[in-house]
Amino acid sequence: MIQDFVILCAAGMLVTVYLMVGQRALVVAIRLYGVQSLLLGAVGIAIGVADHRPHLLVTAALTVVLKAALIPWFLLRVIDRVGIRREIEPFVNVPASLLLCLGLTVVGYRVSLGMAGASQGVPHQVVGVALSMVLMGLFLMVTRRKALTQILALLTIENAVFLVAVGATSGMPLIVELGISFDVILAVLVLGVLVNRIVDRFESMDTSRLSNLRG
Amino acid sequence: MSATWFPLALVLHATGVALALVLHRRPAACRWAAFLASAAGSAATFALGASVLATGRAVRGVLFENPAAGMTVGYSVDPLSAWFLVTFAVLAAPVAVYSVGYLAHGIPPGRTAFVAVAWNVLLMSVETVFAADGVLGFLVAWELMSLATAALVATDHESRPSRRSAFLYLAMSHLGTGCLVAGFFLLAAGSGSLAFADILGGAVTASPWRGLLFVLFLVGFGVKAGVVPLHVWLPEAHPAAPSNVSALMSGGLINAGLYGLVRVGAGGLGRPDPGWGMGVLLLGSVSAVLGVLYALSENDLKRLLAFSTIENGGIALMAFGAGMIGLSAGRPELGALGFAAGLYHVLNHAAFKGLLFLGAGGVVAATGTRRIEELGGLIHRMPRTAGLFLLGSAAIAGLPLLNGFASEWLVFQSLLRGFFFAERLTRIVLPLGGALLALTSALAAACFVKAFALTFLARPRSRAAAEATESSALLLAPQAFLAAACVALGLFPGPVLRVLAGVAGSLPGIGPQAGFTGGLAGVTIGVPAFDHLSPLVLVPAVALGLGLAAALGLRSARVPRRAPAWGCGGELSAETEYTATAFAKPLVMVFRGIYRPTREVSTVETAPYFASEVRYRSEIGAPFERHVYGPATRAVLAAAGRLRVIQAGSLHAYLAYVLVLGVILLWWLGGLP
Amino acid sequence: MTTNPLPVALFAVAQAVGFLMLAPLLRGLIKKMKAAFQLRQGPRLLQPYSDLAKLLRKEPVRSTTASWVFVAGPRVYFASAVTATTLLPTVFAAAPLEAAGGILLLVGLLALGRFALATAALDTGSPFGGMGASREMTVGALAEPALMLALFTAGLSAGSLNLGELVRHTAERGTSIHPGEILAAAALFIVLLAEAGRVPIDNPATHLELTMIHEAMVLEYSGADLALVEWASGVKELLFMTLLAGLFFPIGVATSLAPQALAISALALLAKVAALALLVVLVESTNAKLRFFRVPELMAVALGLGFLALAMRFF
Repeated sequence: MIQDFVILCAAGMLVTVYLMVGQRALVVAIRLYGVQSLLLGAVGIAIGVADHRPHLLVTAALTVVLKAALIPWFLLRVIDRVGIRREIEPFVNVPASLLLCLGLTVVGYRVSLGMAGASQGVPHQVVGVALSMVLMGLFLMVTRRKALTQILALLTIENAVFLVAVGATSGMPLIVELGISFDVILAVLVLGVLVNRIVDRFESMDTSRLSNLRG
Repeated sequence: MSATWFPLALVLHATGVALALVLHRRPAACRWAAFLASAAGSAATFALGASVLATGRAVRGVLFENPAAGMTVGYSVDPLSAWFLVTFAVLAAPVAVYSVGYLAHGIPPGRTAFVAVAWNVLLMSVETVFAADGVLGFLVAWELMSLATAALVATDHESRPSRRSAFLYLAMSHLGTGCLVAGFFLLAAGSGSLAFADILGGAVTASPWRGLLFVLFLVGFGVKAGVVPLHVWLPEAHPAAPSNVSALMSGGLINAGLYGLVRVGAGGLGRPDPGWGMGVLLLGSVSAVLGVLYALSENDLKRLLAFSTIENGGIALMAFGAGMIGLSAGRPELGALGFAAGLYHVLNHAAFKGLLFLGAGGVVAATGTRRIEELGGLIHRMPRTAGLFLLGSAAIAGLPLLNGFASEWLVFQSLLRGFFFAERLTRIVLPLGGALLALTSALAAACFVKAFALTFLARPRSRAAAEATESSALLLAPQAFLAAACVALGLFPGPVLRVLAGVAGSLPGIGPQAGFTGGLAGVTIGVPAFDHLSPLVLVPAVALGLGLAAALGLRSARVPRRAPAWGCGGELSAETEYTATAFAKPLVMVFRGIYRPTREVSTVETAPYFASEVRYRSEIGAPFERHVYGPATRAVLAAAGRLRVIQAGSLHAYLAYVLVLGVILLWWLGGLP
Repeated sequence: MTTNPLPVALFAVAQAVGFLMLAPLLRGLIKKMKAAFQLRQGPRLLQPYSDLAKLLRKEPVRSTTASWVFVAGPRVYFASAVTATTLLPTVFAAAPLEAAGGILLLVGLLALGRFALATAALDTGSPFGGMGASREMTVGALAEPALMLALFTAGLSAGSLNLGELVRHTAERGTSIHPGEILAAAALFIVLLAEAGRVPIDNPATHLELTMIHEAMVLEYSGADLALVEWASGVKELLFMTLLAGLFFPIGVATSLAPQALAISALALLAKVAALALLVVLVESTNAKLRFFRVPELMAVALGLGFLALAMRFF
């Protein structure tokens, strides 16, 4: 039963990523990220309870607090400050993006099939989901112009890695997980500041205009 | 007990680094502390090397170990490493003492800490290169050595030529290191181990890659040893560095390349092919002849010495080549002779080249110029420097009773001794090598007559030279030490060769040999005797000759009369003296096929029919830069220009590269079981 | 050394003194013969002795810019030439200081002399000194390899680079002349002309400074300094002739200490040297001095002959 719950949460995370790809309001994207992190926390708690790994509970709680609450709040503040609320036309339009994401999901699943039975405790579908999320996050970074969307994509990738780590390994040491969490916080803080600076300087969050700076 | 000396030496150098950093605001204290620590480290290295050479047993230890990663960095000082460590220490210790005095005026005071730190790091890394027992330690130390040297070459980084020299040095160095990395990892892949005892112990005999491996190592180590055509960095980098660093670079760092070549060539990759030995011999001959020819045409004192380093590296290579030919023909006693000759020359070169560079440094510090055309008459202002420089010049010219003659004699033996057994092709190559060595030796004598006489004798050609002052004792004492070493090594080749017999015997594939015997009096090659050398026997003869000359001269006058030299009715001055260019001109004309000199004469006329000014410009062609490196660099830049398209400058493009690559890899790997 | 040093030392001194005494005579003989070719009477046979004695008495005048190097030059040149004579076997098939070294040491000592003299020549600040030094080092740079190759040919065919051993080997082997050795002898003869400063390389009697090689180097010497240089040059000339005679024409060399053998050997040596002197005079009288930049071509010929000799002897 726990397995099914975990698979359900993983699938939910995948859905949030699809939704992120499919719409343009930045506020909604941030909220979707929050939901994704919440689901990740749920997965962590479920596995922690099922496999009797108490430190996983601590990690899951941390995840919920930091990634589901703190970071989205911070990013929403950044948006308020900057005043940009919508993503502009991406390089690849939305229907095409969705199709490509489907393709990336297939790739992720193909790899995960090769790992059937290799992971302990977690069904290989979860690994497939995580890989797909990584690829889709990368895809988002490639095709979206606004720096904020790229930050969200990076965070998505980080979530996916976390998902695999939580399930596939016999648990990372607490220190490592704490370290990673704080890394993420710091990264987001820095990136947020950077976004402010970029907008102040160039009056646009459009990172494709950065290529004008090439020497 | 002696096992701890190597880490002790490293610790002493590290102490030097720390002291230099701590005292960086007080240049004088910084200099004394850091360089005395360096000299102490060299003393420890010398003690270690001497003890290994005396007992003949290697000293091993571990510097750094990480069992989890399976990584061990250790050191193993066998007789070959010990010889190079001793050579290095014999040079580094006096040069460190010299640096204390030289850096007081040679560089801006704010840069003292930089030089002191880089110096100690350099010494540490070079000692580790000689003593490393595995690929990892060796490569890290090698790279660190290159970086520290580049930093020191760029000490005067405000000047564009210095920066360019350092850049050229780094580029060539990395070319060499790349070849070394490729070679080492090919070896390691073949045998599965990274320890030198396994991969360079002569076990890799039947690999089909042997030829390629040898070429890779030859290029990699050849760059560092200054072998023609990989030498282009040497005449730029050695003069650009401060003179104490130049002395160490010419006398010590070249040895790192030569050390590697001996490790690989003397049976490290198994029995060498005959072609290898001949290739090394030919490369050495070409380096020697071209090195001395270019040295002859130079008017910059330090560049002249740098080209001379190329020449001496070539001579050592000729000896190593002869040794390899001996080994490949199954005659280990000839191999031992060749390698011993080369190793002896390495030690001697450190001694006399160090002496010459230190002397040149003293001259540069006193006059502010490196150009021979602006010097002259310094023997009256700087008599001790002049005397020591004369001794160094005589040593490097291969004159008897000094060490240059002893090692060149031995190299001749190795070339001539091997003449009888080899097949036809080698029979041509060996005497050709001998003839080229004779030519080199004669040209070197001409070159150093020029270097000494035009710098120190006759009248000063500039105000700076006329007002020069003698160097301080701190600069002179190390030179005197090295000069004494030259004399000692020249008068007592016997004991040196006894030690060298042990070193050569420790090389894989040679074993203890009785190709030559050395007693206190002299050396005998071959049984029955092919040739002897006993300088000590000659000393009383020369002394008697000098005494007779003095006696004959006694009758004429007690106090000889001094008068100005006859100038054919005109007045002789600094302008009418023979110049350095003029001195070398006949030889430049004789060898113009190699030099390809160009000449431009233009007259400037102010009044009609009367030229008021004639401009003469003469230049020696630089064939390697023009025909090899120029086109190669242009080709690389052209290719890079075409590849520049990838650098779109767009964040999205770069991320797209990552995504595509990730998808491809995942698809491919995912399909694998 | 296991042998008693005293007889060896005496032998060495005797040989050196012998060379010193005979060198001026050789000079005088060559001058006399050259004069005979020119249908002149020429100076007295023993004139060089008088000249040396005169110079030794005179006061040397030295340049104000010269340093101790100028004074040391002739003395080192003299000492190196005299020491080199002890490495050669002359009347007896052994050299006094054989143990010191062989061919390479001999060539090295000659190089030492040349180095000292050339360095000293640059000390006066006179341009002729510089010119002479530069030209001498150029000719020397090309002559030395030729000399070495010729000597190596002889040495390698005898299996030793030790001059005494060489002469002993050729004496035992007899007078079977190999064409390679003739070439080597020819190369050595050309080097002899170069080292002795004879036509066609250099004119020892010229007064025109711009045509001088060796003379320009020693232009500034006077008194005892000049005497030492002249004497040493004469010793070098005799040394080369003895070398040529001993290595390539070892007829009559004594292999035992019997007085008869020694006397025959001494006479034979004198005859050989006289013959060589005649050959030198012939060459000098029938050739013009070469322009300086043609001299390297001649030295290249010598180098080529030396190499060819080696090749022919061993292929």
